[in-house]
Amino acid sequence: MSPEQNVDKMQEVVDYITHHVLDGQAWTLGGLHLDFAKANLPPWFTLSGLMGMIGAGLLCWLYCKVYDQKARVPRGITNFLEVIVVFVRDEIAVANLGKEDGRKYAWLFLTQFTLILTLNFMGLIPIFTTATGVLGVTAALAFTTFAAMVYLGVERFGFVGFLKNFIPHGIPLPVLFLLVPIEIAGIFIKTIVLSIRLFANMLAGHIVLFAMIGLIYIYGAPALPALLGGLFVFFLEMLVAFLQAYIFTMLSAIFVGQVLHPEH
Amino acid sequence: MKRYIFGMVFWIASTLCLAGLAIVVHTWIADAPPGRDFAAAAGLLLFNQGMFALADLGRGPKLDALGLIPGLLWIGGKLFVNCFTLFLLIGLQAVDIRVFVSVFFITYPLVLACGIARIHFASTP
Repeated sequence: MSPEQNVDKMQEVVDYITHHVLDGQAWTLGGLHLDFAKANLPPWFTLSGLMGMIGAGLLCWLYCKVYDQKARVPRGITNFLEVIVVFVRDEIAVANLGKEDGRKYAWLFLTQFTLILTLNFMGLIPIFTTATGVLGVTAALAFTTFAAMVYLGVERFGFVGFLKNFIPHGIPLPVLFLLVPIEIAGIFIKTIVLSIRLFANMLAGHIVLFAMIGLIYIYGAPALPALLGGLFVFFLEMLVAFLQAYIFTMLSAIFVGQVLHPEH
Repeated sequence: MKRYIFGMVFWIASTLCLAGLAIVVHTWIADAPPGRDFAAAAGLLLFNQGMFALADLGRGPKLDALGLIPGLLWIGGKLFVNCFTLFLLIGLQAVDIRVFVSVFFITYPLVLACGIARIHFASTP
């Protein structure tokens, strides 16, 4: 194969990767092409938004319809869902917020964990795209943590009390002029970092995976060892999908816990 | 015994239904008689269906006693074969990707839903 043909194929792979990882208003599946703009859907209705709706719909169906609340001994999918609920409640919510607050606000972390986990795993199925690989989606998810921090902090301590918690105790007055702005900026930085961490991890994994498969596409049979690399990355992505959902929820719980229990 | 007979009937019936769906999708996408692309997609779908049937019919007290391990091995093995075949066929362009991907990925969610539903309803507390 001539170098020119290789360059053409490389460009095709780059175009495919770019098209796949970027958000858009079309859903391409093999020979099928669904264009949202042609269906007169509004411009804000994007593919990642649709993926979010599918994921949320699936979770609503699972927890509202399939989950058997009356079962004394859970079986089948009820058992599987209960394992997730108990894990998030005990290992994330209660561990970081204490027993009372942990049980009270477990719903928030459970929603975050299950939604992120579902969207991450949906991204590994080629029919879907990775909604969590789009900054807008992860920013919206991180905003729920920000809103929880502010709302729960104000609800517990009042508006003035919430602001007072930004002032560290036992610090000389001149240092406070430096520390208080940092403390206030911290609440925003935490939220931004939360969204970028998830976005970057999910995006990077997919790009590497496509690049591996792209090598076989460009060079043919001599690049077959890249198949093993692709498989390795795929399984790594599965681990990352779970790990990132866990890290996001864990940090979210830690941040909310810091607001509710500033003395710690 | 009753569980096995019902299970066999279920798996045969669902496989026939899914094969019908795969043919419909193929005809819709490719507008040609089923060939190599269809065979590749159908083979992989059949493998997945077979794995679900195995998980359903092959369960026993010994497997249950081992807890999660057989389930995880089963999922791992299934994923490995699926990914290996998909990456190989797509990477080498051994099949018409447009037809293969469409037939496989439109039918696969139903295979998945069908398998999970059967295992859910057949599971014991």
